[in-house]
Amino acid sequence: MSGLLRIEDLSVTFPSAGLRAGPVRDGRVTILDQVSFKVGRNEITGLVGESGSGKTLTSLAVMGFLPPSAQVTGGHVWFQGMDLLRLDASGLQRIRGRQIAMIFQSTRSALNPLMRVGDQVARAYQIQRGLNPAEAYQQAVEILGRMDIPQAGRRARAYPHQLSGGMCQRVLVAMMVACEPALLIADEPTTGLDVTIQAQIFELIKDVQEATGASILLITHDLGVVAETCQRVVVMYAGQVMETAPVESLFARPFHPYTQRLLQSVLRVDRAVEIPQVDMIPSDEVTYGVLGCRFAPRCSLVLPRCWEERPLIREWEPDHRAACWRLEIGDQRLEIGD
Amino acid sequence: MAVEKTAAAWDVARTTKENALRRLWRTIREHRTLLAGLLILAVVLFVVAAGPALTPYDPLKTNPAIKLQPPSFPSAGLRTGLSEGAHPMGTDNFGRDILSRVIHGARLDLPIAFSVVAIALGIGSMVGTLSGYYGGLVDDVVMRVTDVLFAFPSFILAMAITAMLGNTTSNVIIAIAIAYIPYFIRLSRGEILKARELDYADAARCVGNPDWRIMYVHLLPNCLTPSLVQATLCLGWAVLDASGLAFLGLGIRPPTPEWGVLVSEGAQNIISGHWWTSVFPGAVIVFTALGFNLVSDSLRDITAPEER
Repeated sequence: MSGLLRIEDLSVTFPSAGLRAGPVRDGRVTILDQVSFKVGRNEITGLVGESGSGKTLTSLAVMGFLPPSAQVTGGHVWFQGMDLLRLDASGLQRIRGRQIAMIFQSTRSALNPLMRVGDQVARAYQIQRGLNPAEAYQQAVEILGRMDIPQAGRRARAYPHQLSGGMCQRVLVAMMVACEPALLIADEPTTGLDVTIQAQIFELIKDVQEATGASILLITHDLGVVAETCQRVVVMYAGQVMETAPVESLFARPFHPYTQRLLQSVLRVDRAVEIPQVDMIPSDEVTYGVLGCRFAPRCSLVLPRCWEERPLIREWEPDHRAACWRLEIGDQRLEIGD
Repeated sequence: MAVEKTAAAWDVARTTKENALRRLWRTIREHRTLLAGLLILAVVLFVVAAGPALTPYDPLKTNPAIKLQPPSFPSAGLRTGLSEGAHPMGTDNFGRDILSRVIHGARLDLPIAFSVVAIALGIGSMVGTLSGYYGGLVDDVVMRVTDVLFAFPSFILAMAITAMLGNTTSNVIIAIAIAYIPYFIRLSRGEILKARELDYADAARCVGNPDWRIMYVHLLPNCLTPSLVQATLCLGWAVLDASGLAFLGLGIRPPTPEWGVLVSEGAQNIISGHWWTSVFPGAVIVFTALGFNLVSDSLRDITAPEER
């Protein structure tokens, strides 16, 4: 299992604010539970799951940006032969930018409101390439232009509040692309943007990937985006990885019941289907209290075993892995899918 | 193309200097207290700038022949400055012109106030930023030290430090600055704690900016507003504290024309009915402090309207 970034059994705990006995051990709750997946070279990997499934947390753990209350209790994040979880602050600082860069979720708050956007992008060139300020600024204007920002020279002199959300997001993408990272993490890069702009930003990210050969980890909850943009997909639920697969394989034949429900809930214009009612979302006490598969409380195919024992993530088709007891016992009902 | 052009034109219109000035003027007009405060400060700063040009008298030269004269006004008009023999604020018991001493005092008290605030704001926000950014042990130590400093009223603290360091102008500045530093530490630390959570700090780190740059180039400028409001307020306090110290005989000593010294010297003459010797210098201190307070108050209203 090679790949540029390899996450192995990553577990992260938080203090149990308000949660009762069930899932709490030593006053902490395990939020990320043995997360494992890889991001291949030169490809876009989608990380999907609903809100609170640990997508962002996983990416923050990779960047070393976990909040102080979070604690990594196990696992490895392998990147170019180094375990990022065991690097010290200065080691991480050398990785950030040049090696791994991140596009943040909130467009506006990710840019310094008191600095002209051109200067912010130029800093990336100064730090990462050692250019002098004038050259760096020139490069910054150029890359802003390549991000489809009209009149880049003029916009570079603007402050973030003078630009629209979509423009700010382009600036942010430019800033991160300027570092020429080997891995670019894009955490829901289009939250709060309208659909047209969303499509443009994703096109941009795809172009960047093709042009620079960077690997991209795209965090999203939009399966349509995944289908169009990504080569591989990782499906998470409540801090556990449910399924990883190449895009075609996942959409053609989802193995995990959760993935199947997820795909069923995608709106289709070409078919008049009744969208199945969303089940009641169980309380956190229930979800995080499950010793086995955390989807068990919502799963229509649940087995007694699911509650007690964690199914291993196993390769069922080439490069297509899923963790489910139904698969282990060879239950055909799983194939009803979509 | 046409669309692009209008958009660009709009950008330009929004960022022109003329527009910024107009907005500033509108803000001042909407806040009457700000206008009043600025007018007071304009008068005070004009006096500081013009200084000796406004008065023909030497503030230190004694002349027993004209001691304790009540306020008198020039007959020849103000066009040529004060004519010889006129003392609008009267003379003290050494025959020195009080107005001249007040004017020279302004050139002492206001620079003291500005130096105090510059030092306190500079050190306070630097330390507060470090403390808020790194947290942990650094933060604990800094916060406990400010707690200790806060335990004393700032004037008492300044008194103790001046008494310890000795009576020179620079020691007065240091003493008052030390007393004010905790305010700026607290304020900037709080703001940094808020700002640290914002993504631009992480984004800047992501691009490879070192910690010091994130703190002092990215975070601190975004956190300065409350500190600047506090700084304006502290300018007024500093005038009061500096003259207060001098009044009590700490810090600046007679016969230096300092406002606190003037009030203190004049206080001896009040009983004998020579009220002008200390009332005028006292009124000038109040006037100046009022100016800073009005400006600071309205700045707070403008920058943080929710705290009204």
